[in-house]
Amino acid sequence: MLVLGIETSCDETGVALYDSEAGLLADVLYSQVALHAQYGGVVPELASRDHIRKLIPLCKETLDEAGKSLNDLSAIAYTAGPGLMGALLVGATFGRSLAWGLGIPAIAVHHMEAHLLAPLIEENQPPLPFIALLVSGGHTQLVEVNGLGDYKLLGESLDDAAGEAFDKAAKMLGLRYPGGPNLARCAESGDPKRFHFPRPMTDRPGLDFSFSGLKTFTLNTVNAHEPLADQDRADIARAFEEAVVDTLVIKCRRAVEQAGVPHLVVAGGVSANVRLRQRLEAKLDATVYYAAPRLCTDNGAMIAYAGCQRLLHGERAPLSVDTRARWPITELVVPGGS
Amino acid sequence: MTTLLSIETSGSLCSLALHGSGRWVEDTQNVDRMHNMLVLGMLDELFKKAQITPKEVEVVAFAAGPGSFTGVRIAASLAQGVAFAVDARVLPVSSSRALATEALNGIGSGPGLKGILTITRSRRDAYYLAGFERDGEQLIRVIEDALHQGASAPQSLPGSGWIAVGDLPGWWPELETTMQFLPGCSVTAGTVGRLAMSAWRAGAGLDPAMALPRYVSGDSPWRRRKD
Repeated sequence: MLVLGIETSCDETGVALYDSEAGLLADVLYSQVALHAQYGGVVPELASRDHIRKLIPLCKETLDEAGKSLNDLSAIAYTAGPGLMGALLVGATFGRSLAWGLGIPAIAVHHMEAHLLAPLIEENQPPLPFIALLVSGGHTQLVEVNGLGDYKLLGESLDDAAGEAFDKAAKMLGLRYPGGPNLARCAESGDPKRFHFPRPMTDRPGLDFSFSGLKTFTLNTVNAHEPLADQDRADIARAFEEAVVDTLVIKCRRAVEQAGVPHLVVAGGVSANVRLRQRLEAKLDATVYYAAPRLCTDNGAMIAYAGCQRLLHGERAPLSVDTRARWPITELVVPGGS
Repeated sequence: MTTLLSIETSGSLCSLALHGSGRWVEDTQNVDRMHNMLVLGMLDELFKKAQITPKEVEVVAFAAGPGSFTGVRIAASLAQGVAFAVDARVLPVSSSRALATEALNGIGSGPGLKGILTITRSRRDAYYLAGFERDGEQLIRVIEDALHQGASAPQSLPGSGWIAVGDLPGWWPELETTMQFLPGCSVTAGTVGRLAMSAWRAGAGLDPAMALPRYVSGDSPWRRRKD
């Protein structure tokens, strides 16, 4: 089965080809970071406009790279949510119409399911069941994964996602978009002992997260030290990053222990954070799995892979192009199950 | 015989037209922002009704705006997907020209009609205006598509013999004292398709990647960050 995957849920246009026998054949990504950096953050309408300009050129590039043609495809997989509605609609309408025109099945893929399955594209695959930490600009969730579509939500952020908190803290520090990676870079030269930020919700049982208080704490610290020198900025960034990373690690350790499952998959854009990876590997009595760095952020490969798995289980999207800005992962069902 | 698919999803109507074997088959429904949910099902039914297969399509036309950003993008994405799949060409058609043509078809070309002002609601209190002068059966564009708000309503309007069609702006009540306003006129895929067919026969036609929405000045109001 050869599946073309299309990702347009936010500010990356991703197209990839996954073969159920040969694996990932091609993976092409166009990032809109330079466009949105001019505005200090993602402008949803401009993201939609850029996706529609890039889809066909990227599809051609992907097919060329793999030495395949449209007639070789078994199905088209596209991101149907969650994400920015206008951006989702572009990729989903294009993908669904392409499948209709070719007379092949389409698969509507859940973006976060694709993220949590992304490490399975790698050779070092986690065995089932495993615990997944989904950590991105839109989500912070701990999920017990028992199989495709069989997900149990263990905990999630009650307010901001970790990636969103990173972006907002970066903005407070006057760092450019994309805030997360820039804050992590700034934190590298920071003194970890100068400030101590709280580790929210770690002093009580449970696996939920909350980052809004940490955001306020950051703002108050920034205000108290203005005008910020470069070292102030780095020290605050370091304290913020340490607090987020510690919080995530504490909750992951708790989840692994509670579930008795010694395998943790870390997925989503924040999983590329170096300090998070170092700390998880040092503090967890579990094997930790990540997708390759290029598969941590949004990409078409994970959509093609997730679509292929659902296709192999007999799933087909209807003709309606049903996109969802919000779509809890627990609403997914086991393909072919009742 | 050209096989041409036409798509219009920029307003409340979801409208499709298919030309093949020398006849037009059309389906137009009022779907109220459910275009994405319904348009492919309608398309599938239309092809079955016309007994045409997608592979026979040579050109895909669509109303390219200016108009609802999301609505126009649905049509453009659909046009890209279908045209790319079957190796067809695409033809973006001006939504204002299609609206003026729709009006002309609706009212007939009486000798007194000199021109048509098209007005299409954009967002909040902003409207797209364009003007077309009648030259026999032809419509010559004399006012380019532009976005207008209350403070920027055109100061000088065309003379007598013009009609206005589309959406009447609340901030422009004096319009109706200047020229006849024709409400309830909407773009259909049939009109878009017929305009595209003329262009196709004249040699027009683009690569599917060029099925892109049309924007005008003022459609991108976002401010760049100052450093």
